[in-house]
Amino acid sequence: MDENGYYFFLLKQKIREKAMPQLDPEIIKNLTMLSRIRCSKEERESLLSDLNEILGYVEQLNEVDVEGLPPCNTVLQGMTNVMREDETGQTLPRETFLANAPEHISGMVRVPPVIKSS
Amino acid sequence: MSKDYGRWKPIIGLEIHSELNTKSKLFSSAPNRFGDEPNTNITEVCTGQPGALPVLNKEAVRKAVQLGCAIDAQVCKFSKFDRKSYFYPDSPRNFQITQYDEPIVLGGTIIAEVEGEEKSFAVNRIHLEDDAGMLKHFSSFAGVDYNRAGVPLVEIVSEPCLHSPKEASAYAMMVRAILQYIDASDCNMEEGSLRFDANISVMHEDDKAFRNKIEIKNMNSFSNLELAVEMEIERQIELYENNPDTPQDELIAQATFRWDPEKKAPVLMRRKETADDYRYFPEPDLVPIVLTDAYIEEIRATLPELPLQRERRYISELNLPTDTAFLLASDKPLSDYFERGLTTCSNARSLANWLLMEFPGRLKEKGIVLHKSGITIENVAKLVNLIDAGTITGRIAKQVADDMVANLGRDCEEIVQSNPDYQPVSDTATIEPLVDQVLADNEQSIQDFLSGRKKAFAFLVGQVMKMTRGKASPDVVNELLKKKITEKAEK
Amino acid sequence: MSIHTLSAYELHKSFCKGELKAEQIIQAYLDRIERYNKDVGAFLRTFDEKALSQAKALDEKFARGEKVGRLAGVPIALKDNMHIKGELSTCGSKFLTNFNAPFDATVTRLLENEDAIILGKTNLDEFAMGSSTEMSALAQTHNPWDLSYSPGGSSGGSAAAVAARLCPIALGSDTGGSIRQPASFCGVCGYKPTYGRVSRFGLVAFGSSLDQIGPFATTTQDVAMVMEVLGQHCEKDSTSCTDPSYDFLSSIGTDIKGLKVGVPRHFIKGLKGEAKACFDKSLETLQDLGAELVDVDLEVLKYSIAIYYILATAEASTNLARFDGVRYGVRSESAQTLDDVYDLSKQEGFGPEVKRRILLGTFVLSAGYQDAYYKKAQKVRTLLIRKYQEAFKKCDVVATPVTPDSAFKSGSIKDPLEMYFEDMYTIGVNLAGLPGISVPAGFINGGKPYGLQIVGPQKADVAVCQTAYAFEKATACADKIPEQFKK
Repeated sequence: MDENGYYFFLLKQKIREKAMPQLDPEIIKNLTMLSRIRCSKEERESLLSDLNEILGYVEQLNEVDVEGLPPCNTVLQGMTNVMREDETGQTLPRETFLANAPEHISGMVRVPPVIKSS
Repeated sequence: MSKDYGRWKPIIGLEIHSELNTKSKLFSSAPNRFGDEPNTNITEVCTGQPGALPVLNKEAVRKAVQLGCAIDAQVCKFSKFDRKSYFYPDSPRNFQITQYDEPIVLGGTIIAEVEGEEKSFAVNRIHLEDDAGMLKHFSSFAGVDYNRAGVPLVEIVSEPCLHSPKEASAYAMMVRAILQYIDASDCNMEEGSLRFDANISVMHEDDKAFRNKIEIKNMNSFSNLELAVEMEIERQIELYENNPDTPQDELIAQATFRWDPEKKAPVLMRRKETADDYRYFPEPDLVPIVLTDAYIEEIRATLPELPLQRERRYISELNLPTDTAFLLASDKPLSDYFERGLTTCSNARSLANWLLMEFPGRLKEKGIVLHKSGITIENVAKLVNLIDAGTITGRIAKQVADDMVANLGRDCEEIVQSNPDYQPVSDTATIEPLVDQVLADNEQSIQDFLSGRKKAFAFLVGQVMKMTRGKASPDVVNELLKKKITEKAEK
Repeated sequence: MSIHTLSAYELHKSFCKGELKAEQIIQAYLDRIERYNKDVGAFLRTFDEKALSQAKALDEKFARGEKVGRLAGVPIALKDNMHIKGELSTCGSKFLTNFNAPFDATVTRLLENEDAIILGKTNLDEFAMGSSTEMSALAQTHNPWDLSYSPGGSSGGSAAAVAARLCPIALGSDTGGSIRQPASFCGVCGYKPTYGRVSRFGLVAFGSSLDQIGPFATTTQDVAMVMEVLGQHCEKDSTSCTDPSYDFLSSIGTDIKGLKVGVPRHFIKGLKGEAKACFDKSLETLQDLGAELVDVDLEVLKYSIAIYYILATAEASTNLARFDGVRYGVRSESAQTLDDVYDLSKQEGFGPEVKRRILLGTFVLSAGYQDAYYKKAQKVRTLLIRKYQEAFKKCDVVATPVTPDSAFKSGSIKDPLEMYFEDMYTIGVNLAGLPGISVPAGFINGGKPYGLQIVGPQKADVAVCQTAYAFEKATACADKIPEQFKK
């Protein structure tokens, strides 16, 4: 293992010692539902351990004193009021738009039936 | 008389979404138009193409600020946009760009007339957001049209300060009126450019806190709004009263219903056991809006006449009753139509009555609105003038109105002239024999009248009118009858 | 003289003098791609016919005496997450293998307006998420200096293309180091402009507040030449800088005497071995050129990976929500219901790293966790920005390593977190929206390239390039070509 690999190895040990798992399988399931990705049980288990490790690492942000610091919403210093005139411009032709659609019908994008009130 | 709910008080909040009538969409330069072929008013931005970026429409900001000024709200000098995540096919990006914690307008007041009284209602906030596309349901599939996706919306959220269906619809009517007066929206409920969602709960006089609320969406007319709200209030009160021992949360759990205009009933959409997690966070592709005092004041100073001002003007200058003034003023196209009529007709009250009662009643079957029907205001004004001049009686006028509705656009004077039944008879020579006849046939009535029964006289008048099929001039009939009865009495 | 040994600047000059024809240039590169791309795997596809016909047309235009653009005669490659209308933009993902870009990216339009000729699209980690290009679902890219090693990522294809001289300029995108890190691994110059300097319109978004498009080239002079064309205000991007285009080229070649170079010694104390030796030597070179070294405190950068993996994934989780199989992309064939369309298309279309980041991003934004993660990270980001601002009060530019070491062997890093550490020196630059360049500094660990990073305050793009060019001339390793690709 080279010098920098060893550095990382020590760091990982530190994480494992400190970190408490943040996520349980229920939370992973909820996340897959929120993000609409259907994962197999194996995938969810693998994701659980990956995410726990990463979250264990980001825990270190708790060390930082953020008292009085505003959240950074943008790095653009002082840029405000970017607006355009209320004019219509070039539209996207329907054929171009629908050319990429997996299914379309009568000019509309086609999806399986959607239940109106679930 | 407003309805009494006993020891219960309805707590209603309204969320009104109105599409702004800008030329282009909120973040996309696609045309903002209704009714075109599907997916013909789109750009890469409003169809959520990868690599597309939003750019804010300055006119939408202006209209939102105008609206804020019109309701005496606080226009926020700093506001920003946020992403609201949820998945649905009509959402091009599966997140909406809206304003979550720093909206463009806070607070505000709506003053509306409810059953003769002016009432003041508090607005919580107004914010800008983009509309979703349209999902069209078919039996074996659904089709998505993104023409509407990205259209600018203002969402006007009231405080939960409405306490009856009438208050709710008065509030909604005034909001619509304001939007029309500042020309921010065409407020077309059939086309969906104005939508109401109501949050309804009821509070018992012994309650310390609000009970669970039910959301009802998709009420597409003021009467449906009143009906839906009334039904829900009664339903909730009944449930609570009939089940005093069941915990509140079990009886009414938070849920969302869709109002079905065909069934005239609410249909359950979803229960809210778990609130939707929209995961709002600041939109990184947009920069904040920072408004100056000068900008806001310029907009405030150049506001046009607002509905409340017009309503008060109708009451003080035209002597219209409060509810008439409100109904007229709160419908801008109608009141503009009315005001044009005042240039040729000075009987405001009568004109108002024809505009609010007589003609709408007749046009209801056809499903059209008077000011869009083809009947010009000049024509209606003429009708009122004909009555006032005595050229036709009130009763004849009603028949003329029937004809005006049956043949939209036909001139009322021409109708009167072409139908002999509409020519009022004021020729004494023609009426006198009929008066004699009636008097001869109704001795008893003459006696009744002479002994003080005023109603008997009206009966006699009615009899003469009947014989002339309503065409006799009431003044002449009155005069002749009086004269002849007096003569008889003197005999 | 072999065409492929020339820089873009030299090619353009030769073209404008009539010494070289565009068709000649394009054919030469297409031939090289034909020969070498199967080894390097840099290009996903090339536009042979289109490029040659554009070249012919350009030659005719020149022959007619018409004015030609500032990039006339220069072939360019684009990373496959930038749109050319009518061509595929796969983003290295199975999800978009059938997606034809419905519009041109602004950068495409700007390049074509200056008569550049786009040769093809290059490979990348899927949706630009990765540091090795191994996450591409479509192809493998290899480091031209040693084909068993990674070219870095996510713009590995563009970096390798330039390193192997398959084209003189290639564009990449940089969200946490995705231009600079592969540039260091492949021994080429890679530049990330100040946030907002280059339009993001037409770049498939990953981390909206972090992404920037930038060029790879064999010399900083070429970087400057392209940046003059790309660095324009764009009305279709609300985050686009409104400054007029910067004049890069006239500063190229000016000396850096008296330049104050900040070095965050404490932050980079973990650097070891030949990498450290190379970095120290680079600092000496800067001093020899007349620069003055200054110690600066950027200890806060130790949190940059943590901040990044909260903020970038949060933004990405929403940016990638649009890939749902409804309007475009590969819809799962097994989808029966609408839920299937979403769930299965994403399951089948996205690779493991993308899924990981979407879930992480969804988590840090979700109710109950947003304050502790997302909002906290935003505040630490403010702190980081302020620390950089304080540092730049003491110095003009900051010098750091680009990567912890030279390139790693392909397949040697399996742990996601370990892979994230590859970006430890580059991420802070994106978090603060600063301009940063990776310029070749030497060869270590058996002939592997290693770069030096120069970072400037916002809008100091010209100063950064000027410094890099002076350094490049002094070290003379930027024009070295890997043995295998010399001919």
